[in-house]
Amino acid sequence: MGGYGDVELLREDGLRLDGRRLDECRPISIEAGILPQADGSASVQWGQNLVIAAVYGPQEAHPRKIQRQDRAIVDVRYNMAPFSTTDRMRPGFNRRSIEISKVTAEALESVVEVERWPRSKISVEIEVLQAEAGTRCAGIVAASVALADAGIPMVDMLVSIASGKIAGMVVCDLDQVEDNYGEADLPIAVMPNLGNLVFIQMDGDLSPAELNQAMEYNLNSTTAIHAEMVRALETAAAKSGGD
Amino acid sequence: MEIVTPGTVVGTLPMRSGFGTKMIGDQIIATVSGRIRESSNLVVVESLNKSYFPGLGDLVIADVISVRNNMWILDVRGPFEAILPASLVPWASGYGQTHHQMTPGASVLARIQDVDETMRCVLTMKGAGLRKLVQGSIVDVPIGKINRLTGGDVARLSALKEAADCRAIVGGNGRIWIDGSLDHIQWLRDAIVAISKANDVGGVFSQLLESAPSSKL
Repeated sequence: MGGYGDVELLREDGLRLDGRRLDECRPISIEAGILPQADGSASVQWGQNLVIAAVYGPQEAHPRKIQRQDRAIVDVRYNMAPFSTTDRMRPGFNRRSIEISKVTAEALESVVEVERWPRSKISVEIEVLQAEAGTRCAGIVAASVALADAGIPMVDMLVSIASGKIAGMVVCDLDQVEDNYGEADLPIAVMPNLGNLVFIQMDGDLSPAELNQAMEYNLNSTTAIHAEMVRALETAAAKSGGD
Repeated sequence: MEIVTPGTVVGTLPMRSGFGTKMIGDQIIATVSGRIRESSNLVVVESLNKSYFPGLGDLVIADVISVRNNMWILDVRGPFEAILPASLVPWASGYGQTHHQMTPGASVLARIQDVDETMRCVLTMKGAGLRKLVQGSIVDVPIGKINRLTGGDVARLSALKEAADCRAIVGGNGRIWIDGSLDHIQWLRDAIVAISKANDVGGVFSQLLESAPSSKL
């Protein structure tokens, strides 16, 4: 949506430029427990996206003015590395990263049992090492696996994915070109077991029918992503082994 | 043993919901990633990777991190620091004397005297065996792995400390104090770390016993 000019986003055979069907997701691979120093961690390779997340805590929240007497706070820091995009990014926070940190924290707070740790803080660090559209979704997935890896009690994990619209067609899981030159983007996050929708944003315009189609693509994709998240945690558990 | 992840349904009524689970409607769901255990109608999910949560009466090995005129602030490896008031040490201590009695870096064997609902934690050193740890060595083990050494009928640590001819005390906060001769302390430290990291705990344990210092003596 940030692009310009006429770019053909669909091939003559109806497939997308990278050969995917309209409802097809990019390949995803997740690994849990990658950072020994963190209480929990995960890496997500999703298409060309490479995102790592680390969880620290719960620990006493500082400064004290941010403490909540009845619950913990989830403090998310989403950051894109300067080398993560084709044009080098200016290091540090910007409006986009602050917004994504905030919405990710709010999404995660809906699954984490924050009332167990009054006055505490659970720090979630999300670092995008390589970006190819959909980094906020990859960040939420990575953070969710990292929280589970840290043993933080949650009522469910979060699965996040974005569908959108390119060349007048609704497609699942936009890649970089589709994100830049497409017409709309609809990232969501859901609880796969409980079926609750906890996060939704929309960039661009979708008609009600297109919105329903995009939601259908999103929800259909969550099963495979959730299965990969579970596989990553099971693999990490098998590595730790023993009784 | 089956591994479950948060949100997985692990039981239904009339089973009861234990640690690591939550009742939603008539279903019991796992809230942590870990191993599921069922016993006498109770379903529990044991987290593989958890942090220490102070509990009333826990025996802990804690480090002094700062000193006030009438108390010490200690790290118990929990989410919050704990306080040890001068009135709860087994020696005479008055206002201002604390600085001379224990300095930051000192380790103590203490018990959790009080934890309130906001997790303010008070320690006591008044009780049998509670003391300053002035010799020996302390090794940290992940809380989720402490059962490998001490859990149930396993008692691997007893066999290891016997094999190493060392004394050892396990803190509920995942810290183990070891005392003995220098070589034996080092061997026992390595053995504890190896068991906490091992995939095949039984196999590693057997190998360690064969290489124990006492078997070479």
